[in-house]
Amino acid sequence: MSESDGKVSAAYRSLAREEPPASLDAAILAASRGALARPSASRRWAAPVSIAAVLVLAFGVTLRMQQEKPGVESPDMDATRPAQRVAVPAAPPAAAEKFEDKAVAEPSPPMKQAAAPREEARAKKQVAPAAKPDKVEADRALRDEVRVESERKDLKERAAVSELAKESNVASPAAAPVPQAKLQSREFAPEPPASPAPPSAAASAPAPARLKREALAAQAPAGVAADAQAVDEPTRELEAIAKLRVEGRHEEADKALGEFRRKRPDYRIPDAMWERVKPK
Amino acid sequence: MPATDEQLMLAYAGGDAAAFEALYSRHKGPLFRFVLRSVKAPAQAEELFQEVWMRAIEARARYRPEAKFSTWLYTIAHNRLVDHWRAKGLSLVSLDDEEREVAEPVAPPSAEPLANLEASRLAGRLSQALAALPLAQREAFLMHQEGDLTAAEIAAATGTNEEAAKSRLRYAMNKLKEAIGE
Repeated sequence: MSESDGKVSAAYRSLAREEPPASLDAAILAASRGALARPSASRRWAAPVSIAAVLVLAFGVTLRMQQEKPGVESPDMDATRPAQRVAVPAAPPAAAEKFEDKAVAEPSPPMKQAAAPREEARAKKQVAPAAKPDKVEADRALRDEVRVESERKDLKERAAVSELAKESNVASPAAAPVPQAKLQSREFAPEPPASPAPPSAAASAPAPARLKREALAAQAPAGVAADAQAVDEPTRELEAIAKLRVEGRHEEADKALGEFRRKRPDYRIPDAMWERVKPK
Repeated sequence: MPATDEQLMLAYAGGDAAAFEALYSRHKGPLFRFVLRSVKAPAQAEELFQEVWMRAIEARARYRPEAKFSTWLYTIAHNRLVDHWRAKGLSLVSLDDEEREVAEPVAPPSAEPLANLEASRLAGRLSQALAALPLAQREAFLMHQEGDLTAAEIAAATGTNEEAAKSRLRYAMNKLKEAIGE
């Protein structure tokens, strides 16, 4: 700082040193104590939102499984006989030829190729033992999805090789994690009918989907995409306020704007956005 | 060793009411003068001052110590002032314009001994020159003087870059020097 800058500062400091009135001090300090007496909004809502999120996720996974894999669940796929599915790629060439003799369209190499994705899927299941608790549901859904895809391919071959699968009893270490996944999938999926999912399940989808979005949005701070979501959230809130303005719902917009400011006092509203959300 | 502002704010967020009292005691005077010299009327300044602290209290859980507490506090104050100016029809762009939203000059102390008369006149001139500064320059100057913020911190608090903050500070200083005859 130059000497003249110092003189300006000194002159400024010689101005009156105003202080807030004592009544204002008292009000602010009382508010600071009062704020501690009630939990913050985020803490108040954390437990109910977490419970709602878990319920919605569970419901969503169940619904999805009902819609996507009717008829997949069968006695062949229970925990006691996982090895039979692995036995298909492990079948000896003679068995493959026998399979061909039965006039099935696919020769043995495609059968083995089809089995490879299943092996990969099971390997993937094996690799993820230490998932965080809050990712268990998502991982479970992913595993089920992979399994459903591979089982669809299975259906083609199963017609021809079902005899072979039942007679084999080859154990495989890769099958170890599968029972748990299948048991868990059975928890969520009821006995599937051959027909598509019932209309009532489909009809109720929109409401759970909306709740799921809201619950996931509420859960977001715990997830990997928390930062990205945190960046978008203020913009989304301001867009919602702007929409209220367009709809002429100014009272709600004023209230929402006030709430936004209380929640995000250090957020800078750009001029263009301010024009859309400002009080009329 | 006294606790830092950041430690006090975190302590308050953790439930320590006394930490807030200490923090408030440190910053109430400077922040009050910052707000008072940024707006036209003292009553308005009190209202805005209270609102700034209310927002800081409500946002305590979101405070992150990566930023200096004073920078965070003055960011809140800046945003509240911007809302105030916008309500009067000003935009962020116009804050750099001359002759906008002239603040009420601070009245110099009245019954001064003769020896201090010149100092009093100097203070009066400075006060008027300060009130006549464009909003952005006045704000930068006040943040520097009252909040002890550097140019980089002023930039962070006002949502601009460091060069712009330095320019505003420099222009403000030059005009005030001229006013006091330097």
